[in-house]
Amino acid sequence: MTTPLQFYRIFRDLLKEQGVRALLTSGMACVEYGIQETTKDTDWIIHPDEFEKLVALLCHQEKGLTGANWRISYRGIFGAPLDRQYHLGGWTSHLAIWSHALSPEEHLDFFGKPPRVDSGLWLRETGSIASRSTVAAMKKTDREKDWPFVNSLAAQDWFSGSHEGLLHLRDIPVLRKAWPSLTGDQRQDLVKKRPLLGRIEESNDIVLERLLIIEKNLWERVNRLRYQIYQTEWKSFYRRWQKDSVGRWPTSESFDIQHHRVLNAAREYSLPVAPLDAPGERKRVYSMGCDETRMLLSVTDSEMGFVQPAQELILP
Amino acid sequence: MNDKPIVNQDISLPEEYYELLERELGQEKADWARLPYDERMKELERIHATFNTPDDLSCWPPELGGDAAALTDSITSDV
Repeated sequence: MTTPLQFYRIFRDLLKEQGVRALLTSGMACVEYGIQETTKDTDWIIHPDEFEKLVALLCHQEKGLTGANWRISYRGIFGAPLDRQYHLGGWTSHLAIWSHALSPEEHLDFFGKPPRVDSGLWLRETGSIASRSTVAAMKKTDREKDWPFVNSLAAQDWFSGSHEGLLHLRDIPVLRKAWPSLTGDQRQDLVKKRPLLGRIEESNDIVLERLLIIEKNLWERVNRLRYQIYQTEWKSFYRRWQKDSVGRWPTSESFDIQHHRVLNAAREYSLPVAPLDAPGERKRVYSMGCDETRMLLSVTDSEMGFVQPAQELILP
Repeated sequence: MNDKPIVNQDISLPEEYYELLERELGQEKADWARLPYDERMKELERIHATFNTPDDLSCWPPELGGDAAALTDSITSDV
């Protein structure tokens, strides 16, 4: 019996052995940082140039004599194929792995271009785990359960000596204590990325709390609009495929065959490679998210100006 | 195999941090965070073995979610 933690370590070591540049992120990364997430899934950021290597690794692991005899399958909602172009277009891939006959179904998610994270930052990261700041940015979803982890990761970053934690920190007492200890340059740099920080000194606790609520809602709304685009495209693609030839999915074929089937289907049934890359699309999503937050929370223009991060930070 | 990743040598964090964790995640998870690395992992193994923790992909969004149930509900109900 392989436990989820054992499986994650086996997979981490395999990626390393095969030279696949990858970083652990999300729930299992929180666990490694000492912040308890009970998920058994593992999420990986894969360097966009490494997808062929990753597919080769997975195919090898399925082999019975020379490999480990794993069973590997795309999941029902698989996102996009493990393919460089699709991942650069913001898609993700979802796999299930059984490492032996009696093992539980392990779930793995792969990101070639993690949402809400500047690739210039994470591509420079070393080691096998994404930085706290990268994990915190990825956790800024529209799922309420993710936000305590944003704050916890940010607090750990700050208390470990990194002022980058202030880009995500949401705890007012800690923010108030941390802010005056920074140099002018550090503050300036942080305010460019997170305008709300510039209001710490001028705002009382209630005003600051309201700004934090508005800021969080803005991340949530923009994120929801962003993924709805992927969701809609995926559903349309899947319907076209299903109507024509998909039959039962996922199949019980080997991963190699499944992978080619998915790749061919994505091309033949027009799964768009980069749904957000259409001219003006990011700007439209960002503006719509801001408008929704304005309406939902009756936000004034000045309040929006105090919290609104640049479009490139929310939708890189 | 060294299971402990380099980034996560047990770092010393102030009480203020654990108080924040308690506010955000509750007493049990704050207590867990205070344990040494190996004990944390042992306790997590026990939690994994005892509880059927939710599949992170049990609902949309697609970059984080979607299982067979979601597929059925989302894809076929409005076709």
